[in-house]
Amino acid sequence: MTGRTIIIIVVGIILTAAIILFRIEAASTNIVKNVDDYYYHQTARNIAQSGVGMGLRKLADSSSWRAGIPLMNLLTGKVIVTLADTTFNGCPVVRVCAVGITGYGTNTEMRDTSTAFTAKGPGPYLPKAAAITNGATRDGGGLLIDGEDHDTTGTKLVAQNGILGVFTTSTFQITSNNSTVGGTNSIPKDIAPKKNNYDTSIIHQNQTYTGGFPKTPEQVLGGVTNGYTDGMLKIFAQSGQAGSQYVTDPVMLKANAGIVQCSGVTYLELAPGITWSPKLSGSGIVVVHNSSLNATLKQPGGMFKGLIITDDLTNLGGLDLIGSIIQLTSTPTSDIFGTSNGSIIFSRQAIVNALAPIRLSGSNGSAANVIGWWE
Amino acid sequence: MATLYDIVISIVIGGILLSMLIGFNGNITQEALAQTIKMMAQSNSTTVTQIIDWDFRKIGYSLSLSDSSIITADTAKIKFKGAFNGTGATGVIDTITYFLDPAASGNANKNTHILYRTLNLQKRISMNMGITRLQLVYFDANDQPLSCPVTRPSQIRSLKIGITVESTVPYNITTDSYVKLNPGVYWERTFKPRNLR
Repeated sequence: MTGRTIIIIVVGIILTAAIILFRIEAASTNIVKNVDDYYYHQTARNIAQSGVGMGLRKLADSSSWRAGIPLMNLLTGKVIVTLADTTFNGCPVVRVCAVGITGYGTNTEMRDTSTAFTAKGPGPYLPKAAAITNGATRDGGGLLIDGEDHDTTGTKLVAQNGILGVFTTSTFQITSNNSTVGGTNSIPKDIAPKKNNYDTSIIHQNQTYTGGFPKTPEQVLGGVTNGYTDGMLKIFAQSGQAGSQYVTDPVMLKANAGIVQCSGVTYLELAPGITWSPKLSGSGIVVVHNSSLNATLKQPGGMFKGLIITDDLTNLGGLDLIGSIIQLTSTPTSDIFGTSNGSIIFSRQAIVNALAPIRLSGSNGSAANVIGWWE
Repeated sequence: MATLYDIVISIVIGGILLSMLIGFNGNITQEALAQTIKMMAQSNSTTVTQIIDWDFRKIGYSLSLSDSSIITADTAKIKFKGAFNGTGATGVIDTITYFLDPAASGNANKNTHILYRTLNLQKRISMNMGITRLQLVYFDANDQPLSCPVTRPSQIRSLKIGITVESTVPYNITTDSYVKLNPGVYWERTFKPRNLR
């Protein structure tokens, strides 16, 4: 073997080794790049999620804030946060969208987007009338229905600020000379309660409920378009917030000397056909409801301030209600609405107070009120 | 005599150098092959995990409050609901199933299995990426692991997934004597889907 041959062999081996080493290096570089890309992507995601968190925090401080956050440095990259009013599954929400960027302006730039949809606080509710029914309604006894506006003690408050006395999709009939009905008509003009009052400006019979008569307590309050998703009141009651209670058996309710103590949302999901005859006290929202729309509130008594939503209602005598009441079923067990003394006196403030715990719990921007995350 | 002696010594030294070069060449050739296989395994792993990452993060997205997002939860199978389309649009709820077939995939590496992803009732999509092991662990609200199969998926609040990906061809790296397996990667991640309820 000549020296030249040896040199050629050695050079060839060295060249082969160099090429292979280059391939190893290239493979290593690709592996490292793969890891780097993954890391940068995760970093961008972390930045985006932090941006959403910042946006939610600012939104919690100011529910009207929509300015967003312009491009700013955050962690090891940059972030942009934008906000917009939109809907999420029909529910009005604020969309908080953050774009996290790593390696901004370089060829290794990586972006990731994180979006939170936070429900706007549930909206206000103004009933159509002091008493709203979905079936034939007969007013007997000495029931007082007054849709004029009162304060929470039942004292007439602001003139021409009330609502109708009665609103029903069926008929309304007065069968007692002692029954009195009043309210504020659409002019608006206050009509003081008086006996045998068939004033059609404050008693609306055979009406069509815009959007269909509510079938759930949340639909009464305006449904998802007003920030009340189905099941929301039940969940709120189950949470116990503001003294709320959720029971399927009325015996389980907090009571003092047989008088049920109401606060927040008092939610009774009664078995089909079960009747509840309580004496009430306190304030808030009382819901007597089941999916069959046949949970019945019968002959309640006591003194209650706020809103009563019940599937079925009969013999509303003895209860002094400052607020409003609505009956959901179109086939009540009886058309007898009032049978003896009692009153339904409308109060805007009582309704506002009743809804306050729910509306505050859903305060705009609260992280707990985020109903959807896209990331 | 001296010249002959020089030639013999030169041949010996040259032979040693040559054998060293050939040995070195053999080693780096094997290492290059291993590195390429590792890269392929890692690329496969990245591809699989990106798909899983996209889907798992959106579990329960756009579902109503009353729905449970996870339908089936087992060690090698999970079925869940959510809106997974790329636009973030709401309302279109899909069901996705991931299932690791226990049967061998048919690759040269007999340890590998096929991971199936099924969207709704569509034909399942197979991911033959050299997956040798897929392990799902589910946790409740207190971060306590739930026994599989999970009888009440509504209890699940987070889940951990571990995937081992190997080369689709068996390869023994003799240069790394401590490595007994085929070249591959292990990926593990705990997901706490924000929409999960």
